[in-house]
Amino acid sequence: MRAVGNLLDSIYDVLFCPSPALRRIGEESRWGMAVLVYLVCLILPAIAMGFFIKTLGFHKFGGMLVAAEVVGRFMLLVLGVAVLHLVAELFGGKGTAKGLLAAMCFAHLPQLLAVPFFVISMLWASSFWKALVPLVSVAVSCWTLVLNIVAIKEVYQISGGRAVLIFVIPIIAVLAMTVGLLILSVAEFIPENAGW
Amino acid sequence: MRSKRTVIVIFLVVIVLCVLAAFWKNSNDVNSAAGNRIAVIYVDGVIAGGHSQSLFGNKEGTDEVIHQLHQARDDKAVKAVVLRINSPGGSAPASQEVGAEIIKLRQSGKVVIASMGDVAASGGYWIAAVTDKIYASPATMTGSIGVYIPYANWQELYQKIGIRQEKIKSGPHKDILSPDRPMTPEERAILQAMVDDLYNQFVAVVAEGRHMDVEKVKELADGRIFTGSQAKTAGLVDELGTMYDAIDGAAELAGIKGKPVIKEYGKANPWSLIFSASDQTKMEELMLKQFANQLPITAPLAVPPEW
Repeated sequence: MRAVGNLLDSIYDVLFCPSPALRRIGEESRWGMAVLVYLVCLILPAIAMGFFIKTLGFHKFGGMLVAAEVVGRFMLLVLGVAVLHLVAELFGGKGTAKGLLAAMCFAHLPQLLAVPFFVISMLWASSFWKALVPLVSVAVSCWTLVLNIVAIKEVYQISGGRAVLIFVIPIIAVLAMTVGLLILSVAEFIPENAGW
Repeated sequence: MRSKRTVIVIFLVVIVLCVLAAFWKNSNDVNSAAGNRIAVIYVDGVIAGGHSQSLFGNKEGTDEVIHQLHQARDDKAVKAVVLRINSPGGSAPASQEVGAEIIKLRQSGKVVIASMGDVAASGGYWIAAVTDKIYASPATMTGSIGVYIPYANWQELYQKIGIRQEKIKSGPHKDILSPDRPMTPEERAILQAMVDDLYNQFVAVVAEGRHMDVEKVKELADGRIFTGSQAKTAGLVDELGTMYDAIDGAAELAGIKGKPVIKEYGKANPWSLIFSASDQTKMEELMLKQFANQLPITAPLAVPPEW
């Protein structure tokens, strides 16, 4: 009962008072509970989104997208935490990977806010609600992004600027690798003895 | 502390209720759509019997169309079937077999509508004739009610290039339609009797399907082709319109209220699109099959000769 009470407090604090809440969650490192919260934050919006996509006429893709969303994002979280922890240590951060995993799981709580909008747009299929869904999705994603950066900042007790850098560096690295691979693959098609 | 927890509990309850509402809405949609389904089955290319299936799901032959007709019959949600015919005809037995399955489908209580594409002639018309209603575009080519057996005599050519074929046969007509010798009057009579019998079967199917007098059908069934609008005037077609007009007509006949759910059978999958040049039987291939393995005959053709 006490654990449930603490969980409810943590959810409230993460949404309305994120910095101290995420610091505490990172220190306690209760990642089992955090992963449970993350899965709920992942599965419920994914189900709602799946039904919403069906109403748009993509009957076959609803279930497939839900499965891909849940599996893909969970794997991305685990891999992401590992990479972010490595970068954070390079930047002199003092925290644990388990702490970051727990904090980042809770940082996904805003995703739940998108659920009512998906469902309302399903029930009242007006163009207004359908147009609102992408806007709400963007807003919720931005909120989640900010909470992720706050989680890095609080878990590793570093400045906001460094937290942003830690978050952005792996993304830039992946982008750079993608561009590099793209250039290499295009170069394969260029004739070796080009006549210019 | 308590107010914080109350806020979160209410928030979580709202989220769970929303997800339950989404499930409820989805199951309602599925149930309401369950009885409003119209199946669309495509009859494309030359009608040829048999079954073939490639590794990537490309299927040819009327066995596949018959399988789809069975699927539509067994699907309780399907109230009507629209046959989209775009075929110059083909083998008479294959057309007859598909026609028989369509009659069974109608007997199961489902509405079957034919929608003609560019062409629905001969064997294609045979199939259309057994449906409840025929839709065609004004410029559709249809008709060509009749049967023929192709025959080529290559004896002189064989002599010129030095080919002389010997046969040991069990009976005088075993090599009937053999291209290396002229047809005998007796063989011609046998084949003419066959063609006449098939023609009479074709005429009977059209007369019954179109509720027309046999003599009236025979007047139209001299092998000529009609445009869609000519066919409507002649009573071979019920309505002029597109496939979507046919779908609306099917929904009306089946008593479907609201927008029907369309279920397309035999849609090409991405693999077959990538790995096969075409999913339609080629006329040349069918003609070549006539002489493959030196078989005397495959099937009489219900197809315009100069296609």
